[in-house]
Amino acid sequence: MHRSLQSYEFGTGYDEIFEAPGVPRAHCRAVVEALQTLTDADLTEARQRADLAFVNLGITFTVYSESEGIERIFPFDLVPRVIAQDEWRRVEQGLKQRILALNWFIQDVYNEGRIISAGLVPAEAVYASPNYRPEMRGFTPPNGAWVHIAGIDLVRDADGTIYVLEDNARTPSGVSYVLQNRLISTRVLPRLFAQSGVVPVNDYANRLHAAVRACFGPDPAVVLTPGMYNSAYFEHSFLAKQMGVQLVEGRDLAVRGGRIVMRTTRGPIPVGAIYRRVDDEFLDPLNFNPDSALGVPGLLDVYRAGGTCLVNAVGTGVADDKSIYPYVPDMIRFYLGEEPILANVPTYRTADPKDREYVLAHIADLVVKPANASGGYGVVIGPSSDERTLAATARAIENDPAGFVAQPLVRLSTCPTLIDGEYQPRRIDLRPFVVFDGREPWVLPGGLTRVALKEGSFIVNSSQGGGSKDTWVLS
Amino acid sequence: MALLSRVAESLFWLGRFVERAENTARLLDVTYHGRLEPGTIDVAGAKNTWEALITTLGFNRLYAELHADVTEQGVIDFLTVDRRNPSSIVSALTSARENARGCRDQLSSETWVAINRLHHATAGRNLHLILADGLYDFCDTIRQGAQTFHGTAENTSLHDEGWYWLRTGVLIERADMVTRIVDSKYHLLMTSLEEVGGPLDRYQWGAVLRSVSGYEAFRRTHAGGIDAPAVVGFLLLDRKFPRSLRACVDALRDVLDQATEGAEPRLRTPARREVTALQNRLQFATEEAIIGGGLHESLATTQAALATISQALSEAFFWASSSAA
Repeated sequence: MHRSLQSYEFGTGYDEIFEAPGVPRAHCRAVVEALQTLTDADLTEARQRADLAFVNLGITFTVYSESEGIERIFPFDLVPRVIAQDEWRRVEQGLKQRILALNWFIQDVYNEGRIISAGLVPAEAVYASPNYRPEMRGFTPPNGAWVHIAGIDLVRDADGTIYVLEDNARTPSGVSYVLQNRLISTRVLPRLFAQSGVVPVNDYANRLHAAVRACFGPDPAVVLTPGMYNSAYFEHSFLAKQMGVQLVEGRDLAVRGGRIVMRTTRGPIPVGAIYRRVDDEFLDPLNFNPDSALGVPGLLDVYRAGGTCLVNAVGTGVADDKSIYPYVPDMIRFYLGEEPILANVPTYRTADPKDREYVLAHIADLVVKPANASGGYGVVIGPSSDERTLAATARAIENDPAGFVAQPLVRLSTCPTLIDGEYQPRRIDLRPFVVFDGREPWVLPGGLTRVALKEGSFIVNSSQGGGSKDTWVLS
Repeated sequence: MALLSRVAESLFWLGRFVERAENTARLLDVTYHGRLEPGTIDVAGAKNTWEALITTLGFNRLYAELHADVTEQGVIDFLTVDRRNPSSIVSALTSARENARGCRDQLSSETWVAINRLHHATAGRNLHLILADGLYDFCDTIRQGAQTFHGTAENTSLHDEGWYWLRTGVLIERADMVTRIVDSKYHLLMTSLEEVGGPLDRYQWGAVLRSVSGYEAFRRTHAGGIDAPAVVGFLLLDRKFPRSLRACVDALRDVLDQATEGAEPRLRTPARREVTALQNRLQFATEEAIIGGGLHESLATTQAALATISQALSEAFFWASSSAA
């Protein structure tokens, strides 16, 4: 065994690969055995080949401030995260249940509001949310599909329980890394991969294209990007290419005769569905942010009149708001009549006086998150914060009770990760991707495993020093 | 599938910038290594060879703004890594890659990797590194990278409208460049007529041929050896040499027809009319007539025609000023 795999220690938490030091979990034995055959030289070579492949493929982030366009690669760790088949089946069912409930919730809050009348979700949590779009009231999208693509973040606590950490029902990103990570790991570690029996992920683009086309035919679908300087531009162009559709910017589109057209060398041509990777508020300067140069003036009016279909629909942010999150289990019961398969992390809404009192009293043990931010910004982890930060956070909560939620610290599971040539435990999460065409949800096997590369860190976001791993669901 | 105007424009400029970088590298290589040959330092009538190179490329004014004197190091820096020069090799390749990024979904993955590799091979260089490794290696990297790009693009892309816009850009740039290369040596014709056929003259024209990879092709087709009118005829009028002006214009006519196929006549016609006129002119031209009528003037007319074609395409089809959309 590689010396550092032999001496691999992960403390008292849950490790995804080992159940005890030196003892791999049953489903990981084959992978660990294969990893053992890799020498330092093999690993170094694989590392170099992987890095070079990412640079050559241009799978990079642009660092905005640099005029010379310095680009960074999203660090990729060679050690895969391995998920047993039976566990994945359960997760898959839980994710399908969740996207359906979120979808019906959105349909409900823009129409009858039954869940509010039933007293399960407070009206102000919905209607006062900055992500609620009054423009969408009374609207039903084609096939009733609001959330065509969701990224639902999962974490595992020290006792092995998998929790949903948050829902992303707007324009979740990261799926291109799933597909590229797989490409690279099969290229640089072919034997390891071949011996392990891994479920393929390459059906994603087909599923996505089918779901996009299902909502508006027969004109060609397009992917709408904010442009090449957006940090997720690689993903936008990658998905357009994988689906075989045009990648357009706002300036390529215009409104003509109740339809959206694209400006081509042969004149304007009508487009069908738009898989948009532009946020709601930048979509249409006439209806939303008037300063947006990314959008298409009048797009929303065409959309509401049925002249195009947006994927995801406008206004889905109301469902992935952190202050709505605590109600998702109730949504599942209410809309589906089922018990939730995946648990929520217990969440305190500081807008609620009782919860707020509890949060302020236990702030040093809790994680406080802004209700409407993403990317790991503004998260305060009580156990690792100093007095001043905690006091400032408490004041912020008192000033804006609806602006935050708090949760107990989930001790994210670890996975062996190569750090300077040694296997070391690093904390991970998982973002699976769910595609919904209005009839039946489909879950991409695995998803994006993000890893906090800093020792002891809980923050896996790429903007905060995170990396990623290939995720292997075993067949 | 219809092509976005913005994408057509990006592909056109992608082709132009890759071609520009390659031609600049070729000229630089020949100039640098030519000056190492004994006896070529004080070419009769020729100004400093570096000054001639800057003139060839049309950069006198920009260069003078950035440098007090025309020196070897100054010119190499200006043409390789200086980002203040939008046509330096590094700038051209950065622009090529930016254009490629903007239409990345239209390029085959291998084509994208080819342009991306070429960019990474050059973007981090500075003058010191280039001179330490040898200018030859640097220029060779560019030439090979550009050829890899053309080859992968040709052999892995769908030959649809976008492909023809890329080719249009390449061919316009290549045609323009060959006229500049020939023009740069016209002073040899004008000022050293008494030396025609002498070793110096032959050396100079040999270098010109080598800068477009045409030396061997020329030798095979011209048993009579190197003389100025023959080289001018070969570079401007040969039908079979792929970097000659005529071959570029003939090919341009074809790719332009393909790129604009099915477009409204009012959009297609201006560029096609211009390219057909140019084609006709070259078809019936002879080197004697061109030289006799004034080589420099003839080349200037050709450059103007190429600029007109580029402008007409832009007005009819590209995003910024398109009248198609």
